[in-house]
Amino acid sequence: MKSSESRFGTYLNGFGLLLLALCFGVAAWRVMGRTVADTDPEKITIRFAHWQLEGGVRDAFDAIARDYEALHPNVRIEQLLIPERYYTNWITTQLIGGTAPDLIQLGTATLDAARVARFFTPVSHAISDPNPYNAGTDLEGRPWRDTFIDGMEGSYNIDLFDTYSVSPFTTTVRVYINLPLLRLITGSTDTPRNYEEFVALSEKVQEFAARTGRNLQPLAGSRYNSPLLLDTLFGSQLQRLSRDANPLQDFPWSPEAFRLAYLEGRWNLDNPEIRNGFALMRDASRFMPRGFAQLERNDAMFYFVQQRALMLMTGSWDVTSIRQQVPFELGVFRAPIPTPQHPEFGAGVIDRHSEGDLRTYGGLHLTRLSKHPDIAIDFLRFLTSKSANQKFTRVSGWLPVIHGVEPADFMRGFMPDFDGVFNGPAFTFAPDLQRLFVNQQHILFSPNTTLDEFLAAYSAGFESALRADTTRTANNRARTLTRNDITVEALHRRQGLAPYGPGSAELTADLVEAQNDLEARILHARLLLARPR
Amino acid sequence: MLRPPSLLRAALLAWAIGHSFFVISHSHAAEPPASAASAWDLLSRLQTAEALRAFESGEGDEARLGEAVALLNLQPKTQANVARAEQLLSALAARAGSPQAPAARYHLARLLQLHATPARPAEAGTAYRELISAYPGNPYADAAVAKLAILVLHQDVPRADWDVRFAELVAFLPEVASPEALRDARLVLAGAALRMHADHALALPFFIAALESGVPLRVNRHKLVLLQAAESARILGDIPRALGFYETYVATYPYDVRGHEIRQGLANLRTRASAAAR
Repeated sequence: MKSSESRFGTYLNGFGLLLLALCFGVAAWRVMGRTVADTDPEKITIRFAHWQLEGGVRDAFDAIARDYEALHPNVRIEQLLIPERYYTNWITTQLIGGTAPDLIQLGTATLDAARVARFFTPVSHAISDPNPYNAGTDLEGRPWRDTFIDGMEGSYNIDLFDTYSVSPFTTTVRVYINLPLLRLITGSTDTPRNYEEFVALSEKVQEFAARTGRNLQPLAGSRYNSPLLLDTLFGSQLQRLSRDANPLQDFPWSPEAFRLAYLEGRWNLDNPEIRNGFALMRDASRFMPRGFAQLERNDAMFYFVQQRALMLMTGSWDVTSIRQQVPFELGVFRAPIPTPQHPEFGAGVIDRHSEGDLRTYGGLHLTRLSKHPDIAIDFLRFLTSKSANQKFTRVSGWLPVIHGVEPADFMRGFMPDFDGVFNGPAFTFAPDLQRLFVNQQHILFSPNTTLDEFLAAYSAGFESALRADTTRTANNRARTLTRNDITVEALHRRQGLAPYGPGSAELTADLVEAQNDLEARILHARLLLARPR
Repeated sequence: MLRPPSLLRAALLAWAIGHSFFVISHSHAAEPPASAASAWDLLSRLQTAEALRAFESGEGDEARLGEAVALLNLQPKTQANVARAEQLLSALAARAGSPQAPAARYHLARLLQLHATPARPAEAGTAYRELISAYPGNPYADAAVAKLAILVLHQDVPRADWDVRFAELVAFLPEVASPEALRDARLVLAGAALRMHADHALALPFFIAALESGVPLRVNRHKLVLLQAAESARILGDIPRALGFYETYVATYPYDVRGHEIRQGLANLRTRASAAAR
């Protein structure tokens, strides 16, 4: 008996070792294979890394990579799928270790400006020329930049004042609605066009639930989903203020400029627009489940999928998974903001809000380590050509980023709407202000408290949070400025030029003026921070 | 005798060593020779330590200038490195006959403003002024005008004093030789007038001059300057000029995301203009 146990243990250990050896062998084969591929003089390998693990996106990238390889037999395109959870650590290790791929997807918070400047190279020199892969289309001859729906503004790095990436990704946010349930409650499938109609519908849902005893909420909410609606509602109240208190007339009003305007005394928490913004958030919160701010994203999804909520606000990135999970017909509509005629919340509103502030995001950045930067850029041109973006959109089910590309049928309701004016920013776009709001929101959303009680609690920590956020931005920018001051000199000198010297016009235009603008913003912010209020 | 786990460890070690040699030998084969890169190129690629070594081993004024500015970007930043850079730049700036003297004086001013702890803005201002007066028309003197404007106009002083500073800077403009530097100095002046005093009347002529100079501007910056000029003109009641800037914006950037809002603004202005004409 003992000996058969011992034999079993030996087999088990042997099997374990065999499995280990197999895994090791496969890993070694892959690593060796990559090293060999890198040194194959006949083949150029371009690698790109991203975190979009959604099945459709991966397949779309694969299809486009194969198309590119068919056009360029000497090039191999390889995508590296890295889970979002480990993404920053992975790319940091690769960049510092000198083993980074040619192209890396970065979000706004993935790496700070200093690291972007250190490890990546701008692509601005390429974006004013036409994309050759658009030949024969209506985009032929148009600068590459102007073929994107956002004019590549999403690829522009505001801290480095240069274009560092090219992105095939954009998203919009919509209210998803259960159409059969809507028909059952209202007798039609007309969706709300503004906040007034949203309130009327939500109250009908509440009456229906009370009358039938059905467990049904008008709108699913969670700490993830709710801000998507509540921030939009808050921003709608600042449409007028963002024109009156914005001396630089830069639209849309950036969260940073909004904070500086506070330090200049152009607005404060007693402003009717600000009070109305919070009051509107509070008003809308009554249509979500009690305690929504404590719920997770999945909780909100369950409410909607299980038909315990008529509506759910989330982004176009969720449409594929929601379509797979729900047995009912889906509708979508834009976040409903009050009309200018609204008796309580209309004063700060000029018009319906434009999604003109929509940007591409998560662009593929060209690393300085790339051995074939021209081919990497050429692949980006191909990826964002009209025909490739059409394929990308069809296979991935994501929104197009190139003018004239048709979305998949079920995505039409998600197409950006540029009609209207820009909303103002929300408070949640800065870490300390966001933390303050999250800590105090229970007072705002409680039916047992008043708006004044919330404002009293919020204002106690408001100025220090705003100052902390503004100081952080100014300090980060100052680090960028100081480092780039030397880099600008070096970039000129390596070509035998001097900033503003003969022959330097193009280089200087891209670099020096941007540094001046950055420097003026930093000094102004620091001046306002130092000024007593 | 080696037991299986030890064997496995030995095999792993052998493979790791072998693979490292393989990777290193192949990666070295693929890299360009180090001698091809100049020290300035290394510095532009943020390979600061390597650039510094290259400058230190070089001869002449340009090498000393490179050494000084590389020291300013070397991490971790130390007082000793900044002091050494100041010493190098001061010595170079004092060599009036050296072609590197204006650049040294410029970077000395930058050091005093951005790198010294604590910052010495008054001394930086003096260094910029000396550079402008000592080397009129030199590219670094041209660059110093905008930098001086940024430094002295973003300070809390009574409006009358601020106006004196503004006037001093405007007086420097005819000395600026580079059209790009002139455009940039004008943009700094206009931006400061808006940021510090929301003074559209003061800002608008500088926006107009910068736009009408015909010197190309980055796309994003050009869009913003056109908007600012249009809005300043509108606020000042100069509707025809505001219309002109908005029309230029729409014509130059027909696919811009602000397009709808700008077209709406244009329509409102045209209504106002035709009402005024009646």
